[in-house]
Amino acid sequence: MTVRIEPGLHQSKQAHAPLRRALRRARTRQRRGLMWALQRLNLTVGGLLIGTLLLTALFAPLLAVAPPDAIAPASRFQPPGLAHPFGTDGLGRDLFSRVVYGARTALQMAVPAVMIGSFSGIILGLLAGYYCGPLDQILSRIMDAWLALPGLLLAIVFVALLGPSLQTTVIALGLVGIPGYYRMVRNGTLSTREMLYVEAARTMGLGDGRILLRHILPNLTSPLVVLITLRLGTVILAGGALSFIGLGAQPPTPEWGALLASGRDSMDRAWWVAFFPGMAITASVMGFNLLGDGLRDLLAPEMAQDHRTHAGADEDECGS
Amino acid sequence: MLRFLVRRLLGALAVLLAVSFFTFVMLELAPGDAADTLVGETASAEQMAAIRSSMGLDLPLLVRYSNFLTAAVFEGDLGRSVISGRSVGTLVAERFKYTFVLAVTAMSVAVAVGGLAGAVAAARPRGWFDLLVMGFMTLGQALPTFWIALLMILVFGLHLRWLPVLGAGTPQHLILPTVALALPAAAVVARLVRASLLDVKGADYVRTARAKGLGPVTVWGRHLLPNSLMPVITLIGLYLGQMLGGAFVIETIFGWPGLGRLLVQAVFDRDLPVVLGAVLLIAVIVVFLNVLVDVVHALLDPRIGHEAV
Repeated sequence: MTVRIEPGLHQSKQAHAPLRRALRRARTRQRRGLMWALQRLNLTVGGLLIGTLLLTALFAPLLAVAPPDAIAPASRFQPPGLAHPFGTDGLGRDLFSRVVYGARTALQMAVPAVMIGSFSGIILGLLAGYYCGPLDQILSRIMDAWLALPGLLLAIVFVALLGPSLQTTVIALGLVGIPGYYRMVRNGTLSTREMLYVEAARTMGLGDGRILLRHILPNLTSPLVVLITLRLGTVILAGGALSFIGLGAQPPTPEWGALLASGRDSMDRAWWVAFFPGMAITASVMGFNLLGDGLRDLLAPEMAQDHRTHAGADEDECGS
Repeated sequence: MLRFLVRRLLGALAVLLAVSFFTFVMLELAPGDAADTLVGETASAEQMAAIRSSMGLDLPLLVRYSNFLTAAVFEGDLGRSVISGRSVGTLVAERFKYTFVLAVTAMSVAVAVGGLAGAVAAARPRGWFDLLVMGFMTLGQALPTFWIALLMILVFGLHLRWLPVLGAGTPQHLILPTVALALPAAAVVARLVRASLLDVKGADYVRTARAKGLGPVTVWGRHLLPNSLMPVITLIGLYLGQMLGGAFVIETIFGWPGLGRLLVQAVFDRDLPVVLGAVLLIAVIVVFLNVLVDVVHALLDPRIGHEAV
C-alpha cells in the first residue's frame, strides 16, 4: 500500500527499473491479497458458503433435477446415484432437488425473522437509550424477562398460540431475537447521546428523529451487521429444530429440518434422507457464523469482548 | 453483600411475575379455550357455558390470572391437564427429574471435555492441537443437535446395535442423548475457556508472577485459572438453564420422558395448562440459575457486591 521511495532506484541506470518496480508491486499486492484471505480465513470460507447458499436459492429451478414435490412411487428410496445425486425419499421425490429448494425455504424463514427482530429491537433500543427515564426502565425490564427464557421455549409458546406453520416460525423466531438488538442499540445509543456531534446536531435544532436515524444509528451499523449475520445462522438452526419436531414448517414444504424428520423412520433402509439435509443446515449455519466472526474482526473488533461480559447486566445506567 | 442478594432476588421475582403474566395472557389469547379442547364440537351452547363457568373460564382475565397465581404460589396448584386430568404440578415435577438428570450429565461432560480441550489449546495458541480444537468448535456450534442425534442413532443404534435409542430406564439410555446435548455445549465451553485463558495470560500480573520466578503450577493454579474462571461460570449457569429449558428437541428424538417432551406434546394437544405449567417451571429454574451465577460472581469478585449497591 505505502509507496516506499528507495533512494538508490532513482539514480538507477537500469532502463527497466520502473517496469520492474510495477511488477514487484503487483506481485506483492497479489501475495497480500492471498495473505489477506488466509488471515481472514473465517471471512473467506464464510463468504464462500453463504455465496453458495444465496446462489443455490436464486437458481434453485435450474439446479434441481426434478420439481421438489414430484412424487414417483416407482423410484422410492433410490440410493444416491447419477440420476438422483442425494437419492430419493419414501415418495420417490428427488432429495437433491428438495435440499436445493430448501435453501429458499431457509432464507424465506431467516431473512424475514431477522428483519422483524432487528427492526423492532433497533427502534425500541434507540428510543430507550435516547429518552431514558421510565420508558427505558419499563422496556429494559421487559427485555430482561424476555432474555431470561431459552429462545426456543418462547418460540414454542408462540407456536402453541398460533399453531405450527412456516409463518408462525418466522414470527416466533423474529420476536425471540428482539432483546439482542435492543440491548446492543440501547447501550450504543446511551453512550453516543452525549457525544459532541450529537450535541451539535441538537444545538442546530435538528429533530430527535433525524438525530437518531442520521447521527446515532449510523455509528451502530458495524456491530449490527455482525449481530444480524450471526442471527441469520441462529434462526436457520432454530427453525430447523422447530420444523424437525413438527412445530415449524409443515410437509410437504421442502424445509431442511422437516426433511430430516421425514427421513427418521426410514433410516435403517435409506440413510441418505436423514443425512444430506443435515449437511445443508450445518454448512449454512457455519457459513453465517464464520462470516459474522470475520466481519466482527474486520468491522467491530471491540465486540470480541462481548461474550465475556455478563449477559444479564447493563453496563451503563441511564443518567440525566 | 446482603443488599446485593436482596436486590437480585427482588429483580428475579419481578422477572418471574412478568413471565408468568405474559405467558398466561398469551395462552389465554389462543383461539379456543380449555372447554373447547375438553368437549370439542359435540356440546351445545348451554353445556359449553356451564362447563366454562364451572372451570372459571367466564371470569375476567385479570381475575383468572390472580386466581391462578395465588393457587400456584400458595398451594402449589398449577391446575389440571385438559387431556389426562392429572395435576399439572405432579406432571411437571415427575418429568423434570428426567430433564434434570440429562442436563446435569450433559453439562458435566461438556465442561470436562470442553474445559480440558480449551485449556490445552490455550497452552500453545496456533499449535496443531489449538487449530484442531478451533476447527471442532466452529463445527460444533453449527451442527444441528437433532442431526447429530439422528446420525448417532443410525450408527450406534441401528448398525452397530450397541446402545438403545429410545426411552429411559437404564444408564445406557442416557449415553446418546447426553452426547448429542453435550457436543455443542463442549464447543462453546472450549471456545470460552481458550479465549478467557489467552486473555488472562497476557495480563500484567501474570507476567509479574512469571518474572518473579514462580513455577508453572503456581502461575496456573493461583493466577491463571481463578481469574479466567469467571466467564466460564457465567456460561455454565446460563447454558445449564438453556439445557434444562430447551432440551426438548433431543428429548423428542430419543423419547426421553423429560419436561421438554411433555411441553412439545402439550403444544400438539393444545393442553394449555400443561404448557403454562412447564414454561413457568422452566422460567423459575432459569431465573434461579441466573441469580446463582450472580451470587457466585459476587463471592469470587469482591468488587461486584460493593459497586452494585
